Amino acid sequence: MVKPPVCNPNARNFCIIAHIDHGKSTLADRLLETTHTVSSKDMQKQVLDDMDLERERGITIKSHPIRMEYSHTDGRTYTLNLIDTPGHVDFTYEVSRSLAACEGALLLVDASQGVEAQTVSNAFLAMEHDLHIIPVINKADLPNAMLEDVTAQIVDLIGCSEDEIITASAKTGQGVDQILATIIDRIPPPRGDGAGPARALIFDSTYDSFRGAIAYIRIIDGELPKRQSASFFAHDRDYEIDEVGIFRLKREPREKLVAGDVGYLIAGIKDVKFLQVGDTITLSRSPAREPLAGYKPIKPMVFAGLYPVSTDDFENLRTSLDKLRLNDASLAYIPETSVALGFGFRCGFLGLLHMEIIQERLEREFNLNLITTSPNVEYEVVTKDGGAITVDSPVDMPHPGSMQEIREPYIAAEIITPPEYLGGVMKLCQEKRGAYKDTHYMSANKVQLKYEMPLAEVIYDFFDRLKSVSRGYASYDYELIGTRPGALKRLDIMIAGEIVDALSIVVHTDHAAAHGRSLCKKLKEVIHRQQFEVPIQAAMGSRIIARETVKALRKNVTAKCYGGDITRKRKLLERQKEGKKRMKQVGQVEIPQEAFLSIMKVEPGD
Amino acid sequence: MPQTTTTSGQYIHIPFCIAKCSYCDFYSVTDRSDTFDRLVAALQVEMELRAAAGFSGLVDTVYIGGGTPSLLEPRQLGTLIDALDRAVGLEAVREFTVEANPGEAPPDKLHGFRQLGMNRLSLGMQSFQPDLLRFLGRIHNPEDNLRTFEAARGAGFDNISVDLIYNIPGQSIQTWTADLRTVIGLAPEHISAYSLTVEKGTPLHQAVEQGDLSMPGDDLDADMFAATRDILGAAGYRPYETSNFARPGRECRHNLHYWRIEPYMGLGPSAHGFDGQRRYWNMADLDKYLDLVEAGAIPEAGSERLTPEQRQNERLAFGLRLEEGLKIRSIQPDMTTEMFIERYSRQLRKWSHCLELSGGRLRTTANGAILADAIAADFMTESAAAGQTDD
Repeated sequence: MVKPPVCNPNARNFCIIAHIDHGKSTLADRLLETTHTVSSKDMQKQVLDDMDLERERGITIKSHPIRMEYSHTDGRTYTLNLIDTPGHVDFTYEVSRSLAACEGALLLVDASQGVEAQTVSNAFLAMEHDLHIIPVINKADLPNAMLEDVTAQIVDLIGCSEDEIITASAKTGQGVDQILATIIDRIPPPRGDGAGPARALIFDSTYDSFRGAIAYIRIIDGELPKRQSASFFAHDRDYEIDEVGIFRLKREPREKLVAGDVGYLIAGIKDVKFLQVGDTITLSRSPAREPLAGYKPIKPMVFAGLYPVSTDDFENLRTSLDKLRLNDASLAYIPETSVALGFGFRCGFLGLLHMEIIQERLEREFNLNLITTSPNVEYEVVTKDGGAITVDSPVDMPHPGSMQEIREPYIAAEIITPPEYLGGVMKLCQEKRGAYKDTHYMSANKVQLKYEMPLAEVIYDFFDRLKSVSRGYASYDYELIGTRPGALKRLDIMIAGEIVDALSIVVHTDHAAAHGRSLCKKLKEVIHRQQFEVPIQAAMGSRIIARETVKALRKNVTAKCYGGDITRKRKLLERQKEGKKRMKQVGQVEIPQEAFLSIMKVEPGD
Repeated sequence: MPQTTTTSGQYIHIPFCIAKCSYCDFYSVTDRSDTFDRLVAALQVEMELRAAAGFSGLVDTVYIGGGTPSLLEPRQLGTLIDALDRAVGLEAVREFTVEANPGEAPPDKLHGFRQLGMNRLSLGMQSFQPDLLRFLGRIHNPEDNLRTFEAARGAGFDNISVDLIYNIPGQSIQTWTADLRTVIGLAPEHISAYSLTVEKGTPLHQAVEQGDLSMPGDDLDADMFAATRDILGAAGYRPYETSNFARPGRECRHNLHYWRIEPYMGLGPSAHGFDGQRRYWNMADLDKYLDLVEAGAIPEAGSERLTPEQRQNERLAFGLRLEEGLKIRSIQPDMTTEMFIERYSRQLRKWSHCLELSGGRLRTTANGAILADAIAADFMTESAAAGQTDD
């Protein structure tokens, strides 16, 4: 196939990819400053991360495009479109979408940390997209920088020559001009048919309550002027383009966008199903015939029930999820009912961090009080009659007698660690039912380990445990490699003789007894005394494998009424009342929210 | 809505103590005997300020508490009582209580109190076990309990209340019941038996928090609660409130004002008052209190006007502690028993073995008294929605 011609020789589209905390956002800040894109008055740390959560946690959750101008030593002024991307494994899909809008990538590696798991996975993603990679060692000013070692790791990873690697410090500004010059010299300008029928790739979207859905687009061919009618390949509906423009710190309208541009499009699209990330936009008047290559739809990996603490909040939760989904296409949810928790939603997430972030945003931005059930993966159940069903909630697990086998998702995990922690990491992986595959020494101080493990084993606390066995030095990344049969069983929790559906989990048979015991013990701690004795039991099928008892409440009355201080006594009881309101009534038993949360934190043997 | 027909109480807080007890969280100060006269003067100003602002209800009880009011001389208390009579009128007073500590109220002082018209004495005996008294930080001994009680009888007090504490670390059910029997032998008219509660800001709280000390635990506490009711009940003391026992007709009328959500004027540092609509609380700081009053200002630290919901919550919280129970019409003037059953059907079902509903009142049964807070909190969950429609 013949390459299309260069359509805009003065433009460069690139992104920054890196492991989390290797300094992406700081480098982005420095690039914006050096190119005078952001005035010093508007400059603040992590300037592109506009969500409170992003600044608080020091992470990037959403991609942020921005356009810069830079005067090169050749005397010409170039337009640089930077797309800042998230670094956490849960948000890999955001990275891969942004890559499709670029011709090059800065691969940023921390000089003291070296190549980490997401450095590797992101570098491979960039190579798959055929991007030109510019390797940069960041934080070179730090006293514990290991320039030689990190250089060796990068060469090992992408096969570049040592002198291609730029040594920089986003903090001090060292190397920033060299980075900008190299972007122009090495990253190819965009190619496309500037005069042909318009084709633009939607690589992200956001939602504005006044303007509707806003598409983040990369124009490949032709041009998109405003006030023209746009059509989409994914559906039959046409929309008139209200506004197109480019990204500065805020959106900046333009008359039109042309081939090679990165920008946005607003067309009064109120229903997000008509603006799908990965879709191709063209013009109704002279439509393109073929769409651009889109993206594989993102599949959620982790599932959990989200329930409002107050049943009145169900509709509110639905609207809030709808609104969040406008900005986060990876969020999946369908209504479900729990005997214990009432009406809620079974939600699919990309990972545990994603789940935490969604929950935190729902509680913060929409003022909801939520109960999250224990997260689980999606199982494939092969029934005795040869049929196969997909189960994403332990409650839906069929009766053991009707199942031939349960298959669970497996991942290929790639762990990078300094060699001294190898033993601890391997022990952890074995405990998590991992099958060892390979070891590779990337440099004297970095070993890459490969394991195949059940996804279910890594979604709880694998990351925290990995960090603790390696004193924070190991990193990991994973990809799904299919499903495999496993000796899995549903574990039910019965409180006062009734199964509490929201507490059911699927566990490996080897771990069941220990897990059941830990769960009962934990629940005993959080369920307060009731009017009668409350047995807590863990059961597999009809077999009870663990039991604890919460003794009956004997006394609940304060002795003194503080003289005439009636107010204090009333407030004490009003607080007790508020506590009751936050409880879930299951049969005769009041179960506090912590019961549903604590189950997530339980490990066998706790 | 001034209620001229209702009766009200009068409380005066004397915040002086010789020593602070390890568990007590009432406001008190030590080593301030130089301030006694200044406080007496300030209290007179406060009662005039409050009377001038208008206070409803015919005063039928006076209670001088603390602290240790018996530290004041009868002369000083006399000045206060005369001023109080001028300010609010004491002609209808039927019960006039003063608190005293065993060993700190000699016979001549007790005679003096009687001559001032005081007719009820509340004695903070707390325990008859020397080690437990020491643990509590009390400076008296078991003999002082007996001596002061006899002195009070000798001075003519025919209505005496005795305070006792159980659920003390190190106390056994045997020593507790022995204390109860000792007190029954003295035959006071009224007994308050409190379970020791760990209150924030006390040395006791600190010791428990730091793990230096652990409390006896729910089960022993509950056993002691039940034993108290059994033993005092058999001796003719009715449990007319969670922690209060009396011979028939000897219930503390003053405290009943609090518990029936009736008005009372509170005077002195940290004192609380209620005029039927508004609750207020004075500065819990002697010097700030004195400065404010001496500058002619009402010495309040805060106040609240009760919402219908709060009023209902108070009725529930306190009504269920009383043997007489909660008057259903006090929740809402037009409420019938049927309406009550409808609104609280869930709670009534849940607590059926703890409650009885008859004669327009809801009461806890013998099973329920020990769970009164849990029951009240559960009933309160209906108050928010219901509170909108009444008053």
